[in-house]
Amino acid sequence: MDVTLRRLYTLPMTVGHYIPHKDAEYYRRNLSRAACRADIPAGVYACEAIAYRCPGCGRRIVMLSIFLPVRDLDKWQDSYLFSRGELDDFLGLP
Amino acid sequence: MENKKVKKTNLLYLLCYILVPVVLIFLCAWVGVKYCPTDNSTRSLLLTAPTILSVLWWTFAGRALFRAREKAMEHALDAKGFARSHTFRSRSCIVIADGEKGQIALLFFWNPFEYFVLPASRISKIWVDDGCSGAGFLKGSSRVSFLFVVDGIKIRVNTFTSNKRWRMDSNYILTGISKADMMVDVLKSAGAQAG
Repeated sequence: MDVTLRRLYTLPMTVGHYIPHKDAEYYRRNLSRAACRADIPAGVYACEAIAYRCPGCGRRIVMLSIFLPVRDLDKWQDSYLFSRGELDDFLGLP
Repeated sequence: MENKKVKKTNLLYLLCYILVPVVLIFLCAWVGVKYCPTDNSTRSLLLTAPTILSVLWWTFAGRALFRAREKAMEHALDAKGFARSHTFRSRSCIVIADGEKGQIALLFFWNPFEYFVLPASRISKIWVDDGCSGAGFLKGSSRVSFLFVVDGIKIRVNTFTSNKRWRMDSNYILTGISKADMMVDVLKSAGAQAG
């Protein structure tokens, strides 16, 4: 799988108040773009969106990795895969 | 309570909390021995009931009182127009920040009958103590806290405590550090807002 896109976002949830969401619509409504890791305020959950594309069949998958950045470490929380194009238009994928 | 000097411990409350149940146990034991020398059931009741009540008091009453005083403080702050933008509750202290007015409110476990509202600019120093000690594979911590100094009084608020020692990259420690870092940022921005 080739990585076609990798972007960092923040979630409107702070440490101690994390609620898991599996619905793509939640992420479409609540993800805010962060330019870099240093832009994420302390105690705020971050989300890395990675879009993969199979070079053979062209199938695409988007993975959202949710984590809490703590200084130079990450506390991993959840990962979700979206394989039916739920986030393609949000991420601006062709 | 506004702009009053911060007092972490009410000595009278502390002594009452510890000593009143002890006095009650001895008083009931004395009454049992003195006035019921032959009535074994009453005497044993007078010996055991205050002991059980005292253990319940030490275990639950202090915390229940603290929670009740917290609710009262929140109502009072809301009535005064204090915008509670951030609240951090620990076992020993509750810190509430008003990011708009640059004020903080404090309530201490050992002084639950008075709360303190003060401009965050009165905080002279804020830092995080991750409790890290040891070297190599022994490096770890059992307590993470944020500390601040108001009017020369150091206030420590724990964000994580344990009777075990945890690696510095454990989820517990990372969560504690994250909470402490967030509260330090909140207090610093409130201080900047207060000028």
